[in-house]
Amino acid sequence: MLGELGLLCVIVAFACTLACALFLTTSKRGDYAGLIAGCLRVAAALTLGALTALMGARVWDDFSVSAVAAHSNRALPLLYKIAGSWGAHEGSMLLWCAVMACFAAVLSRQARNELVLTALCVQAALLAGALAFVLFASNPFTRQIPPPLDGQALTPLLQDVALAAHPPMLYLGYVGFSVVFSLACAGLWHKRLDSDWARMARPWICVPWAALTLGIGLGSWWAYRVLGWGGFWFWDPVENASLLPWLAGTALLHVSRVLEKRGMLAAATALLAILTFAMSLIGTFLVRSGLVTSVHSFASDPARGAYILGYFAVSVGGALTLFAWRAPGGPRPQPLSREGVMLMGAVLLGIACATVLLGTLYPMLAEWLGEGGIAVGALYFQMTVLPVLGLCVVLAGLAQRLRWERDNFSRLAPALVNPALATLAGGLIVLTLATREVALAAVCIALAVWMVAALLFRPRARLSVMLAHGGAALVILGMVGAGLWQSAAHGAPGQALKLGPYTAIYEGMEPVLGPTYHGQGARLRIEDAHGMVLGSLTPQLRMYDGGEHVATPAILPRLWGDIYAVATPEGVELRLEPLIYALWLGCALAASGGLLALRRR
Amino acid sequence: MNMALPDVIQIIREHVRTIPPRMIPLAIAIGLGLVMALSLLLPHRAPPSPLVGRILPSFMLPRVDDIHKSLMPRDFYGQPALLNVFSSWCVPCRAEQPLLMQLSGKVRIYGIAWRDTAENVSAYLSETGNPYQAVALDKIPVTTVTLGIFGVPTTYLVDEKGVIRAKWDTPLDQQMIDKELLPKLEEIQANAKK
Amino acid sequence: MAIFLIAAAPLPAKEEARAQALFHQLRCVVCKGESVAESSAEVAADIRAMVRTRIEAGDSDEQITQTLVSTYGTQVLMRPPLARGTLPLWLAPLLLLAMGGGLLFAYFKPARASA
Repeated sequence: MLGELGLLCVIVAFACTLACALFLTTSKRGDYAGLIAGCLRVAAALTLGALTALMGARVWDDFSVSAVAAHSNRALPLLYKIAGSWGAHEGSMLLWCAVMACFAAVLSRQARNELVLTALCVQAALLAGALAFVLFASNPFTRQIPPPLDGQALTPLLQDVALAAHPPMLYLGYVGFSVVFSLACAGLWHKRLDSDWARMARPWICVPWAALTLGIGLGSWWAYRVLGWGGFWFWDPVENASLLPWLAGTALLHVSRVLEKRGMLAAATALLAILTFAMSLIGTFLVRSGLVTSVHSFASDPARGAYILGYFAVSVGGALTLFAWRAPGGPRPQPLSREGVMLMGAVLLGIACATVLLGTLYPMLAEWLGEGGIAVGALYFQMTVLPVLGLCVVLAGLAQRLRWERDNFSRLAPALVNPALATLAGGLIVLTLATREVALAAVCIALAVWMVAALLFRPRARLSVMLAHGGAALVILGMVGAGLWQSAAHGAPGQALKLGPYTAIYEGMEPVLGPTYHGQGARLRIEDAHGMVLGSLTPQLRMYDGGEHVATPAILPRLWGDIYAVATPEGVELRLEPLIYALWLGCALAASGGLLALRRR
Repeated sequence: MNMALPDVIQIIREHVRTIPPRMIPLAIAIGLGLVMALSLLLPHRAPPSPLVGRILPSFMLPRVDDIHKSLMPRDFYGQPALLNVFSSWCVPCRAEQPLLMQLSGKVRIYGIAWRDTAENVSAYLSETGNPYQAVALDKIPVTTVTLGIFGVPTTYLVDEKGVIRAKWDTPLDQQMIDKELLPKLEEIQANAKK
Repeated sequence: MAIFLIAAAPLPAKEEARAQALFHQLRCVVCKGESVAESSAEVAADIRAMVRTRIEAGDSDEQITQTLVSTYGTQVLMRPPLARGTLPLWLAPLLLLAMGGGLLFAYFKPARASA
């Protein structure tokens, strides 16, 4: 029953959005503003209803619905029955549609505005396409008769609290950028891409950006806690897929600020608005078409890939054709001015984005050209993308000290002295106190100090910018600590392990039982250099009902970072992860800065 | 290059100047779209293994039927042979067994039980049938890296001199046997007769 | 469930550190992205065992990686080697930076001319 209701909701929502989209063909849509707004709100309610129906089917173990039988079972805890709705392809596409529809419904409150109305119709077209995809290529409500007695196990890696929050947060980002995409198309069409447009578009840039930042942070936190490797970023194709829209979105955020404040860079803003959503779509394509497989990609299906490609061609192709036809001109900023430097930063972010895309696609491209078997790993991205982002950080600090419109070296130089001194001090402190990877750590931390110092010595720095750039500096700090300064030790089972000032003493094995797994844990007593007991860690090796073995790490947080233990078939691994919390704190801070920017007048 | 580099740069510059900059994002998007389309159309073919064309690396493993006897590559030189690495706990290996039974009539097949125990292997073979001339047991295993094993099942086509002529890292299916294995086998047998 | 299969126990400290360094340079060939250090796949465990055995036997890092490349191909290396096939990969970022720089230069020229 729920399944049929859900399907009905999707069908009616599709009809509503298709009707709204048709208004794109007429210029008389102003007379129907109320109707269009109403249709979109109805569509939002219906897609939410469909999503609730899917969740309900999972909660009530309705295994006659194939999607429920494939990704849920009776033993699954309630949280994962609900949250696992978007763990697989069909449910996640439904979530995609629900988020897009809700955003459209909120935008519809401004339907009286001519430009917004056009944007609403574009948004309706995007939504209609996505709903068509759900209806025809990834229907979550297909029935399975006779229904199985119990469902399949949910992948163990997905049975984690962060799973509940990570995909919705990411989708708020990916899908959220569709609104500014629609607004940009409307702006190009009506030839009204100005400071007022930017002010109106601001929430539709800041909220998705903040959500995407948080979503990426949550994913990284989940990987750290669940995957048992002590790492936080692997340049995995699916991770890269989320980084692409983030890089483009960050560029958009800054360039639209220039448009709002100074009326310049309208073309760049429109272009980046289109490109950010395009990156979302490319990311979706990468993950769902089976093109790249990774630790956490969805099951692959080329038919789905073909549909997404078609969607990309129509939406992005259409928008970029509109751009080619009607891109606005406008005054160009001076290179030595805040606008100029922000533009340079946006270009650098674009280069970083292109590099990530190239690295992700390269194995496939090389295979076409006859050089199969090439794999592009973390080392490549670290050596190419991170330096470009480092340059961005330099520009970010510089921009804070530059005047708008026009500046010159003689005025700028004294303003840079204080931050430069702080940067030098920071670098020197690291050079003297650090014991490993000294040069690289000094450079990175100096950059982080520069970014913050340039802000602090400003009389009128905005809180939102301080939070955002401060958060970024914290992330750099976390990358240095947990990336460059981590250490590990291995021991055979039964051995005491010594790492730095800490000793892990093996106390014994204990059985472990969970709702969907059983296994064994190795209890370790952690002592510091004085023999004082700090706590105990029990890394587990779990055997899930589906047959997978997963090594679940145990973490003991300290003031300076984490003590991390994981069991491997060869023994126990103990790791020290300094400053790891700076990563998560930095992401949260940066996201809050993005949200605070909404209050800016 | 027939032309000097500065001339080439000049020509590129002139062409680039005629393109209005605002068309460039569209051009790039079209390029990306083509890449995505090609990715769907062109099949993914795994690169050939570096072991193809080389002598089968040596190993010496106890045989399942008699632990005092061992199996080495030398034992099956002289005629073309298939070396099939499998496990009793491996589901695709079980699916492959009927095809191997058929093939055992055409070519001698030797097996290595990877990460397995003698009891499980014997039980498995009595259940599914035994296409193998001899099965060696690699309990630890030691052959993973030397034979370049990615997982089970893995099958090697070895000629009479012990040179690996083909390697399949995926389970065999009827199409692979008809299109790749049998033609190669005939080629080897024909050459051996000369 | 015998979870602690001692395929190869950890080595004395200095050799183990060398082994760990090598593990981070080798890709788990069945995992698409993880290094052998991080992977829980069986093949990765076998590669780790082989590296430890070879280190004990006195092989150099170069010899060990070469052996692995000879049976698995260059995909077993985390860092794509600077070979003909990967040249575009390494050149591309430089090219992008040059194009970005050129773009900005051309963009700011009229602005600077009027300044």
